[in-house]
Amino acid sequence: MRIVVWAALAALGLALAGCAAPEIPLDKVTASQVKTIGLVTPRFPNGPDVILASSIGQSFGLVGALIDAGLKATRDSQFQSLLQTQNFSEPDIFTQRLTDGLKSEGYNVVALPVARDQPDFLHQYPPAQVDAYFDVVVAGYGYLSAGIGSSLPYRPFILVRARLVKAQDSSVLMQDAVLYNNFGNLKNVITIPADGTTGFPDFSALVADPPNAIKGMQTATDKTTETVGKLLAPAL
Amino acid sequence: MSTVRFRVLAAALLASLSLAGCAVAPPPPMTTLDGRICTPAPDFTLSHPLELGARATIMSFDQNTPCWQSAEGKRSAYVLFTLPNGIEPYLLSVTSAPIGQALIAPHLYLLDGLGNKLRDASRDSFAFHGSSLSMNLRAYPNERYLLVASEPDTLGGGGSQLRDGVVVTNYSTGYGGFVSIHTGFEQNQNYVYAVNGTIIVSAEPIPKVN
Repeated sequence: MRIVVWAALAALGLALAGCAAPEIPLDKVTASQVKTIGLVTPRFPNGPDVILASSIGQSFGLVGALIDAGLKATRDSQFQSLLQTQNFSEPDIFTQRLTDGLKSEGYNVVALPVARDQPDFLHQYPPAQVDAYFDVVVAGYGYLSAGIGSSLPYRPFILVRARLVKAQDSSVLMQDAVLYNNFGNLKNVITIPADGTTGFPDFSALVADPPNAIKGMQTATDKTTETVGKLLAPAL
Repeated sequence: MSTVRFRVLAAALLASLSLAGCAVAPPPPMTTLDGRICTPAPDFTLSHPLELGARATIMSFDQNTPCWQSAEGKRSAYVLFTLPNGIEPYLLSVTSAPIGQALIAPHLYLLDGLGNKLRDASRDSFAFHGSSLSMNLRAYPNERYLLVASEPDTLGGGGSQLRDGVVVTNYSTGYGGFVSIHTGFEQNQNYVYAVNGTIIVSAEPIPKVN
């Protein structure tokens, strides 16, 4: 018997390999060298994921996997439509909350627009008068259920990787990952437990209640960006 | 019922029974140090050497773990580590893992060679990594000891958090094949801040990632 940690998410297409990367903390000595942060445009996937982490199809090999993939694509599409009809843009709200959080920690924040199509950190950063670049990769966001049944409700999730890179010499000052919705029992990722009051017994209930579906994403976004911001506010 | 289905079910039943037979209930959270003899300061002769790049050191806190009583009369169970010698900063990782529901709310102190406090961090500086509380920090060559102590003001407190996951169980069909059953779960994990639990500490070079 084994507990699947990343496999259930990874099998569903999230870019998770980088989450095995070591956590590198910022400390007060290092942070004191950073006053102005260049926040490069965070990387987001093309749309939300609605993940059913265990299903009957998983026991039926390739055929089951294909069926599961088709069902997931339908759920993703329907949830994407829900977000659009509610005028909810996760990239916009996430970036705004993150910017506000960094400013509240005392940093000057310069937005640095970049085009990015790879689900990984950038290798080069645009020239700018900043002390460090903050590079954020949102590996996935949406809703996640551990399995079928009302006792395994759909709850919001966001998975983020973040890295602070010194402008002067490209050294990595901080690197970490944050997961909203404590899935598995992860060792190298900061986890934020999902709010138990936001859950939907099945996908139909989720799409039938857009206001609360959005509220769940907003809570997840607030908690996640707050935690990511605190990575740049070291206690020691 | 076909033979194959019967064998799968029988294997599942056997697995469940054997797991149930092996299960040992974890000790309950110990939320007081009353009755324990605590020294007025940490005992440096009990310090455990920590090597850079070595495997993590795992220390279980129980009724025999040394305790220390501060001048204010507050008591903490503690473990002391002698930090590696070196000239470069390095990465120090401190994790508090639960035993059953018992979880140590850690307070760490970095001390110089004479035992004087240079820096410290409370429970609030730790973040959950699954069911464990972890903190990584950059340690500097002038920091010679790491003291990890239970925070006295948190004892008996705690909380709960939702945890989801998937368990995969492989059953033999009896004909050389296996059937994998994926089962999701959601738990509301309770934790109680206590003086028993597990502290895991390691020292690594700061990774070069680009």
